[in-house]
Amino acid sequence: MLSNSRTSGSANAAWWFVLIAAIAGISAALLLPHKDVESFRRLAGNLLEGCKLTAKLMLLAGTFSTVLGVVIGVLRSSSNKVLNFIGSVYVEVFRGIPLYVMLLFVYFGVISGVNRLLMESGSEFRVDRFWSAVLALSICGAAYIAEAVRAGIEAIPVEEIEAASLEGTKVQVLWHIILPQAFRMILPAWTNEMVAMLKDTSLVGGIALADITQRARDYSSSTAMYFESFAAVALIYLVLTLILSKLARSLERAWHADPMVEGN
Amino acid sequence: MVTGSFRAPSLLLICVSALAALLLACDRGNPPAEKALDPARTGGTAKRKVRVGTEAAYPPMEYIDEKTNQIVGFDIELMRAVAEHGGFEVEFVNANWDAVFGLLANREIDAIISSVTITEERKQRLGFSDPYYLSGQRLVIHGKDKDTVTRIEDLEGKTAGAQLGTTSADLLKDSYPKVKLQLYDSVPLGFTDLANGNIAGFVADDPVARYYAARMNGKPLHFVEKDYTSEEFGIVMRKDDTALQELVNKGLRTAKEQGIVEQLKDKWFR
Repeated sequence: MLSNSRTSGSANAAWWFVLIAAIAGISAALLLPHKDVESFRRLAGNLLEGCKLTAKLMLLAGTFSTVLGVVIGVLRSSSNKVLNFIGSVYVEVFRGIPLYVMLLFVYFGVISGVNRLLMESGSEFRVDRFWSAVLALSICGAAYIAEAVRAGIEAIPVEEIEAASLEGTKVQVLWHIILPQAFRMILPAWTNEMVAMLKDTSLVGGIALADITQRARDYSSSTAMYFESFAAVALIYLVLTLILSKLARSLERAWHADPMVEGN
Repeated sequence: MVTGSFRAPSLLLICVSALAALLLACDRGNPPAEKALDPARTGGTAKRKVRVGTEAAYPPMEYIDEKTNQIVGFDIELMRAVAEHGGFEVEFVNANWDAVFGLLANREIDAIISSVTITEERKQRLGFSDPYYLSGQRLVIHGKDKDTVTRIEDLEGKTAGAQLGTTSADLLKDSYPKVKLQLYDSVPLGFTDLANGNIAGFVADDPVARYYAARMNGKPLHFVEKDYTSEEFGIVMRKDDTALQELVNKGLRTAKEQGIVEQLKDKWFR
């Protein structure tokens, strides 16, 4: 614990250093090429809209993939052969498909067909590309989270589960004994998956969603300001992932409620 | 247990080998890709080999022929004629629309023929040939809307699509801010989305808009007979590559004088 509190001090300093440097970089990349305030304001507003989309995608896909990932992870560590088989098939399939391909498949391959049927049947209802992206991100992300959940569950001593089983039903044991411990253990792995997912949202431009990456591609291809545009976008992702990792770390601290760590 | 652990890897090995054999067998069936120019053949002549970038997803201007797997189209044949009369060799490179300009700047290609509109903004950083074709932006809508949508203004509050980084996107952005804009990586994806009823309209260059409206199989698209802009296409080169600009313009002049451009229009835009 002593080494933990020491390293988290320097880790904290590194976090602030990178955050401030990234914000300075974004400001420079955005401000320097613009002579007039109006065109800067337009670009900044444009990027802000893109950030909002990225945040919305992340919030929804993060939640859904976590819920789905926990369910699959529990199935995967189940001693019931059928449930275990279902969970394993899910992980093997969706861990092996690239997210970009999944986005194109879900939207152009599946949702588009559904929408065409809806249109032909005279319905006004459409599933839009935003929800297609949420679906693809959640399906792929859940496969990784499931593996982390399984590792977390397997790390719990068997004796503890057996002892608890004497007192309660399977669901009670899962809910009160297994999952709380597993969550605490997998929190760092879960944070990694959320950070990876945040970066993966940069692929949604492939189904015509105007996220920050797509906006930068559009802006740079009509102005040829490739360096400035992509530097700004790279640093915006960095700031977003820094915020995410900070949130996850404070969550980790609250859950562990370790006085030594909390003292920092 | 011994047989079990022995059998699994062998089974895997058989599966992988079978897959590899299948892929190799399929590969032989494909026509060979355009071969790099043989140095022995070009060595004798002093002809410059020019690598020409194009986004081959813009029929009938430039696209991949499904049967032959080759890049074909109006632009492609025009470029071959220009090369013939300008005295240089061409080799086509297929790339994404927003990547093709980066390839030019990085000298991985020397020219672009890809229905590129000559604009003042682009002229500041790119070298253009003389114009070779007069086009303009046109609107395509879904057939079911053809009585209610007769112009872009009718799409206000709805979503229209265009390709990312094009003058089609600029038109919607600058002149119709009330129309929600959806940007696509490539035009075929946008028309597919339109045909499936996911967007209300799509804006593209005249020949491309007509092509999709006429040919999208079984999915009724409607071409709106209204000219929005008039834009000239040019062959793009690096601004400082004046030697190539001269060769290209010379070849283009001859191609125009000999009626080749008109012939190609008849062939591709009918």
